[in-house]
Amino acid sequence: MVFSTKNMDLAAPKTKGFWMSVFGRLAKNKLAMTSLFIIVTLTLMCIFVPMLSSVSYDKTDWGQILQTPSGEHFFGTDSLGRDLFVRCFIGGRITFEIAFAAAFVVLLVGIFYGATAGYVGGKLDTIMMRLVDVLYGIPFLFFCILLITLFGNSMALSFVAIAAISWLDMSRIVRGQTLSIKHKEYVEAALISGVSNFKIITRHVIPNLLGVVIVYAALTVPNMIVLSAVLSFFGLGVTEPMTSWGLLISDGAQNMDAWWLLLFPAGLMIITLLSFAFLANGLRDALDPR
Amino acid sequence: MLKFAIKRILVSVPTLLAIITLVFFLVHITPGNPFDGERALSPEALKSLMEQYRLDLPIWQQYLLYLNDLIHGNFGISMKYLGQSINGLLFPDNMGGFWVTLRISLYTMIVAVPIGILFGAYAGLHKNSWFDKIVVAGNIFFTAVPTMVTGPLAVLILAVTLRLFPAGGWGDGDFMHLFLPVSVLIFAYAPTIAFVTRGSVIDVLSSNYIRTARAKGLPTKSILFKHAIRPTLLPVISLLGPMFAGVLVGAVVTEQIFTLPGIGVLTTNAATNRDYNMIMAITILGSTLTIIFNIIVDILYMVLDPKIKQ
Repeated sequence: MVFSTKNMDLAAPKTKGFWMSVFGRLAKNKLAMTSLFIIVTLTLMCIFVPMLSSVSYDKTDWGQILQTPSGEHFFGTDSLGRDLFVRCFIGGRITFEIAFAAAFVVLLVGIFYGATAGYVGGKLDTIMMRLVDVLYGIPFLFFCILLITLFGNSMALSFVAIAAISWLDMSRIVRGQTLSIKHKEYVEAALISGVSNFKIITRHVIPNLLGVVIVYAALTVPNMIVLSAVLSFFGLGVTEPMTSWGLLISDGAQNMDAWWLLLFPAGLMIITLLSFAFLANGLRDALDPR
Repeated sequence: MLKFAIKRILVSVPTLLAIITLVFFLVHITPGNPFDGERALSPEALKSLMEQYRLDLPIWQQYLLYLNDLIHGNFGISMKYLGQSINGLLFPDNMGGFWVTLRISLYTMIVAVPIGILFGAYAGLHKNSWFDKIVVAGNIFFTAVPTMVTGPLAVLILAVTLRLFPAGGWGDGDFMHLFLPVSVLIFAYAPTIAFVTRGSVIDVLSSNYIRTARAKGLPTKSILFKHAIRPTLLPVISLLGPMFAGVLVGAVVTEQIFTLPGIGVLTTNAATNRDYNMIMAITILGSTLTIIFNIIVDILYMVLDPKIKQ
């Protein structure tokens, strides 16, 4: 008797798609959804506040120096009479731009590097991971400052420098994940039953990587925000009259008598960083419901 | 054990060499030299500068001479403060520079490690108590919010408004001047130690051998201190190696906030004046310290891990 699969119903049981159920779990997490809402709101404000406001972020007004917060200037004014509310959001725009761009580069390089090392394995894997070990040995801030000093201090280059040294974690995570997926029983089962390599990669490896990558992306963006802000403490990165949260905090730290100069940018940064942390937590729980 | 220690030290030599090589060639292959730009130098002056800094030699000779200098503990000459040796700037006789950074980092580790372990262990033993919840929340907050935000806020509240501590400066390295910068760093790192300890305690207490010890009827005290303590500490100790690199960088950032005369100032000056030799020296010094600390941590790990020790 020839065993035939022709008349058997081999279609997968009707379940909600993986990503639908992930989103469902995330939507139930109030903390994560609030965080997502805050991030979206802040992003929109960073885009539209400087666009719609009547004063420009670099408009100095000598009659309005160091005004406390009021109805006219929500966050007060700085030592040059510039409106802090507008400056906070144009600074946020720059900070977000650097952070998202750097995070994108980090993910791209990290995934490519880690996946290559993991897939190919053998000698190449050893050499590639040895290089990562070496780079890990260098305190990242010093290396970043070295790169910026070498290649000049501009915004574009500062984010390249930030990205250049931040992909290490990502590459390790992706490599580890790729290795473990490669040796999973279901991949072996798929191989035995004759599923093509391409199909295994698209059906098993990439979806499994995607979860880690999404969680890590939500962690990378705040890291990039912090790193770019730290650089402004060393006089690197964004320069006046343009501003960033790091630069605003650094200014506020030198002007303690005007408390609002520190409190507002620091507050915005704390809210943003915590939101990303909670969102990343929520995403991790949603992707891995164990 | 001595064999392990020597092997571990030997393994890290190539890593350090690779870092030095990478940093050296990165700096020297980049086009331009630190003397073009600022003001036009006469060709003769430029030539004598190039000679003084050995920039006229072929690059492999420069590299070997640099390695030779490093082996003799000499970081070369500053390119900003012409003629001054970097060793003199990094390790000044008045105990500033590197010594400030090292002291802040070590004080931080000395306080943060025991506090983190104690808090974490208590939280783990009393899972879901209010204390445990504070430890978990503290970890979330201080992992997300860096010293460059908490530091200025601490100055604003405790130094400027309440006038409890000086707002910055080194004084002569006395307790009052050190308290705020070191506290800010402790708050940045102790929560992570506490969180890892907590997780480790929970893991170990639910493991089979602890259950066996309980089943045999051993008293709780003897279970905790004889059987649980070593495996609990292992993940914490392996955390400390990478953490030290973080503390070192954190100390440099904190110096900027509290205007302390450590490596931070030297880094800023070097970055704005393109003092390549200085940045190379700081990067290599930082890497060396990180590697040394990792060796210490690995040896400590081996001493504590019953599986490795034979």
